[in-house]
Amino acid sequence: MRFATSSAVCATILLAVPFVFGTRPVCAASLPSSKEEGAAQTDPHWGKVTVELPTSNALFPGGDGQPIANSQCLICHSAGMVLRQPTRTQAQWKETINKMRSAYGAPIDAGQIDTLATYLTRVVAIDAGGQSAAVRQKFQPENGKQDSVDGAAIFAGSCAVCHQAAGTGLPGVFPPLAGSSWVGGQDGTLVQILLHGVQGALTVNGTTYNSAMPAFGSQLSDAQIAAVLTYVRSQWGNKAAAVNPTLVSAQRAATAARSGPWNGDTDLARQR
Amino acid sequence: MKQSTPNATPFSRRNFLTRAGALGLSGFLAITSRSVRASELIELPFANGRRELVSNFPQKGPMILQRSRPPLLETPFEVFDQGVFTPNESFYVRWHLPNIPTTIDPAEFRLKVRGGVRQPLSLTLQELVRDFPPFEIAAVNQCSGNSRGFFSPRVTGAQWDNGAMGNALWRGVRLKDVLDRAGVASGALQARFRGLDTGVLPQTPTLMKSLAIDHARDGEVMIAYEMNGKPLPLLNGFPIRLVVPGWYATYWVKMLADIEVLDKADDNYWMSKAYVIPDTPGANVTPDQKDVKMVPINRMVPRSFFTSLRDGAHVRRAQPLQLRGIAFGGDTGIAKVLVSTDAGHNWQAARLGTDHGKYGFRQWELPVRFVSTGPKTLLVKAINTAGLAQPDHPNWNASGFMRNVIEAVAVQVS
Repeated sequence: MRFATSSAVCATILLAVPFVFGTRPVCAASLPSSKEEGAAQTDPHWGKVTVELPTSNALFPGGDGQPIANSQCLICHSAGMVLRQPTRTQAQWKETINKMRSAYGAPIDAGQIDTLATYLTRVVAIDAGGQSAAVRQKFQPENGKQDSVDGAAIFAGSCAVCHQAAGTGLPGVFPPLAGSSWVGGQDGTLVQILLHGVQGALTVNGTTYNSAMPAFGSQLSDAQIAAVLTYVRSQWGNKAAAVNPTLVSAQRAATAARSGPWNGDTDLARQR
Repeated sequence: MKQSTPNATPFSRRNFLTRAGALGLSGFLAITSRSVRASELIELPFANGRRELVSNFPQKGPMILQRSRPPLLETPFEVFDQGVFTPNESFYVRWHLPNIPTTIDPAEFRLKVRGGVRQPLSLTLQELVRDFPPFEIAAVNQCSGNSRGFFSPRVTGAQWDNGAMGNALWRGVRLKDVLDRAGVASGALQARFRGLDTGVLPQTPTLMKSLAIDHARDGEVMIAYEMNGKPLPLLNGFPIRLVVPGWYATYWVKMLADIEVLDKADDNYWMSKAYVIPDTPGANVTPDQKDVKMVPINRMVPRSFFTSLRDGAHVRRAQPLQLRGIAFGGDTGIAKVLVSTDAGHNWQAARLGTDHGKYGFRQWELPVRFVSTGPKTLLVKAINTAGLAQPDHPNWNASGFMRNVIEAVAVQVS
């Protein structure tokens, strides 16, 4: 058994010891670290719980439809379940793609449907070895941490899904990185956004976005965060200075006690 | 069904230890102390069945990874041989929408009851525990698509083996008591339930499920704040989830935050388009059958499994062998479990284990001794107290729902 965070461990450990109603559990790992967590805890059941959910770095394999799959399908779900379907016809894949568009709002253009369906028909088809081509040719672990320090590779694997390969974002849903005043602004603030993620309204170049950005602090090392930020700050017309891994280390240490995402403009605007 | 006395202290140490003992925590430790490498590969018994066995999801032991985001985690089947209560650490996980809160502060959490009620409520967890009589029930939570990987012809969806199910002792409050506190207005038709999870894209419909108001007020549907004597793991719906005994898990809304009483039938996507089944016995149709009336999925059907040995096992001739497994009746209790060791020519009644209530798993056992060598097909069949038996032939529908055919394992006697 393994718990991803100290507070989850603490909530469980508390159950094993006698508990007295009305007292505050003594648990160093989950003691409130800032004033917003100061509400009285009176029962182990009601202790604050924070977890980290593993994400997937698996990408769709090569082929005509790969860029569509990597930039559109991964917005809402990782690749694992798609690549582990039974063999299906192109017509069946079109049906699924159209369901994703009409029922869930997947931003797949009508002109992309045939390409994507043909691609999925091929890469998911089960071969004589009993596995789909995608899984057999090169097994893509659905799970696990990245170890590359190549900023472009990290961007492609973790960021482009929402912010898109050209840093344009998705209008009304995910903010752009190209030309963003946040990207060109304080490097420490950018590091904090990657470390802890963002929730709530965030204004980028005059437009307010409300989509949540996940925290990458547990998935990416200091060197990886520096590499991907340096990449983002040098692409698509952006011309801001490189980010140094030592800055990331210092920023990580300074907010080590933090367990939740930054609250959009409310928390971040004053740090700009 | 086990019901607590209303004046019991909900979280006394004695209570906890008693219940923990009853649930066999030692068995659970034996499973989870097994060391499992990260990303060990396993093969599920159907084509394209390669999966990772992972241990890096919070509050979870080794789980079969179907998808990381949003998480689909299957219980390794060996767990079901350890006892009738599935440990929280091994309980399967199924989410539809990727924005799942990763921090829940119970001091901030509120359960809202609104819509067609005389007095809208906004309840804290403390109020739920303190102001309503506690209620306990053992019940199986099973994904509508459990065992989908075995459908023939194959259908799309999560390609589960048989581990998208689990049985827990749920403790919390009756939904009826909460609805009565709010005062259901006349003309109410359904209660609609919503959790805290949301989609990424604004167009993605938020997951909401509805029950007929009489079902919601039947005194068994409940809001659980404990699972097997402990808080729910976050991925199983911390801090509270709906428990709908005898019904498929799609209705058991996790991280329950909002109850809305409706005066008309809910036609939201998750009730009218998703999770609908052919309105035929066993939700069974042929792949080319047209114009079938579809209805929301509802009551579970009986199932039974071998847990003490798996397909392909080798056993010795003339040696006594204790066959063991689990069964559940679906929406009612188990009447009997029948086992055949000769591919269905002869059937013997298995001995049933402790009855923890009609909605839970029931363990079964049968001592056997093979007199001849060679391949043997073992079958197990459950019959529930309503007289419904598992079918000889598998059902089929396009969504891969409600599989409950008689289970078979092939063993080699030498």
